Amino acid sequence: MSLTTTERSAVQGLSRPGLDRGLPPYSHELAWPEGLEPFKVVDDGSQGDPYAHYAWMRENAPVLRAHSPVSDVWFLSRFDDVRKAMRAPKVFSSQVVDPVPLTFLTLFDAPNHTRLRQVVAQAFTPKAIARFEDRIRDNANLYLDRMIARGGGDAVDDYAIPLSMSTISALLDVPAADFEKMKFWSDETFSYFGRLARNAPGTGTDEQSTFEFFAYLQDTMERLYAEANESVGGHIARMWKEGLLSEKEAKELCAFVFVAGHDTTTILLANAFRMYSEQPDLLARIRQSPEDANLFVEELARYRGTVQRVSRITTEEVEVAGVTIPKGAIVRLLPAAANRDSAKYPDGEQFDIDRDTSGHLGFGHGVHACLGAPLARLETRVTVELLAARLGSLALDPHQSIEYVRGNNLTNSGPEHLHVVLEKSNG
Amino acid sequence: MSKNEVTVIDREGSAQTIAWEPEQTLMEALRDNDLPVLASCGGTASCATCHVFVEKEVFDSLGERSEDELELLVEAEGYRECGSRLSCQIGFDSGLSGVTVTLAPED
Repeated sequence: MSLTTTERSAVQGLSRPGLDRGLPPYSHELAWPEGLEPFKVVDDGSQGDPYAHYAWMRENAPVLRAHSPVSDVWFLSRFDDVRKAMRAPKVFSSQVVDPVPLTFLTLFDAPNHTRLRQVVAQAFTPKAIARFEDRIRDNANLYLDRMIARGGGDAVDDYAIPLSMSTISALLDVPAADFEKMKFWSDETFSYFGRLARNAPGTGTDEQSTFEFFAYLQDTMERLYAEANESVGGHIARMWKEGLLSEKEAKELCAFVFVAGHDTTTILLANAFRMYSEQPDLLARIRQSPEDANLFVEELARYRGTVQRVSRITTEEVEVAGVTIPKGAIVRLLPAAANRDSAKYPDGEQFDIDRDTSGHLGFGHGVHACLGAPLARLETRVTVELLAARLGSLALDPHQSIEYVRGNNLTNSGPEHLHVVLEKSNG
Repeated sequence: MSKNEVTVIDREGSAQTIAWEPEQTLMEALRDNDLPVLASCGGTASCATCHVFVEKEVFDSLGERSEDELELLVEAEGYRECGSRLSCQIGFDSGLSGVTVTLAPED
């Protein structure tokens, strides 16, 4: 049961051990406005679309301490603070779990981060990614054809998942005939990661599913190696067989590329549908000026980016916005909150494709900036162009509200289901 | 505009000449020619994984380093006060054809 504002104010007056040590009050001890649950480490369903929380945090608690059974977690929400932390990997370390339990790039500092990222980096440069544009466009048209024929559907299940899944599968050359199974494995692996690296609750089956996924990827890599395959998957397989990566590193890195490339893009693509529904005039604008699709994509990444919680651990005591965060503290940077900070982007809560979005944190910042950003940008640009070219109207289905991911990975936020009504363009 | 040629000395000391296209930053030219330049942040002057050394005359001919760039460089392995640059911050300039750049050690 939640406390009312008055009750919480009363709690604030009590003596607390935290305050005696100069620590700020916990999130659940603060006087959150009516209708806004205190921000929590693990979402209980009240943080699916967390922007109202973020707005309040930027204003009232830019360094928010939240209680969890394992440890305190500190959330940073202002642009300057998040950006600064992302630029200081020696103070805000990514190696939150030691030894690192999984070969996921987000869990490493240099030099291991550099070594492992180098293995896959060449495959994700804009030049390397551009080769996939035609295939992405063909697939996107196919999924959109089906939706238009039915008058609409779920932008997540019917479009974003198949498109992101078919794209990342092509990049790795992992067969993705069975999207449902791959989607299940991918989500379970992300949940397993969340449990190991973020103290998330897990699903109960995440470990078993993850090991099944790893076994499947190992078999796939054996095949890719035998074929001298040129995909990223083939490249990782060769690094493994040549002894530059261990078997564990190879299959986990492969899984990382798959999971990171799939889930994040799925949410961003679905959010592109959402923003067209909120600003329908943009359909005509982009139809007439397709080159403006890039503006749409950058503003989308600023305004409704996917990765919302980025985990770090402090290697020394550090002061942020007048608050002293102790050494060894778990800190979650909130780039999506930072991106709406009006101190950086005037009127930051407004979606405006004509604004200057430079410097946004929608694909991260610093040494851990999103490896797959060129791919996500490409898939989203193609989607934004196609929706404009092919649709006369796009609206949310008035009978079905948006369902949000509950975030077992404690990383991403966005729609899990977003039902839309589509009408094709007469043009 | 015609492209530049740049001589690159890698971390093992080997030299090679690459093409630098007019629409590229120096980092993009290095990366797209398969040199081991991680460019982790993608060119936003927010990491130092595209750190290079340029010759003194070239260094002097380039503009001042921004606060963001300098903040990262001074912490980077092998920082040189009059030679270190983030290659993502060096835009194409036909006057830079024929220069030599050296890849800095990795952190």
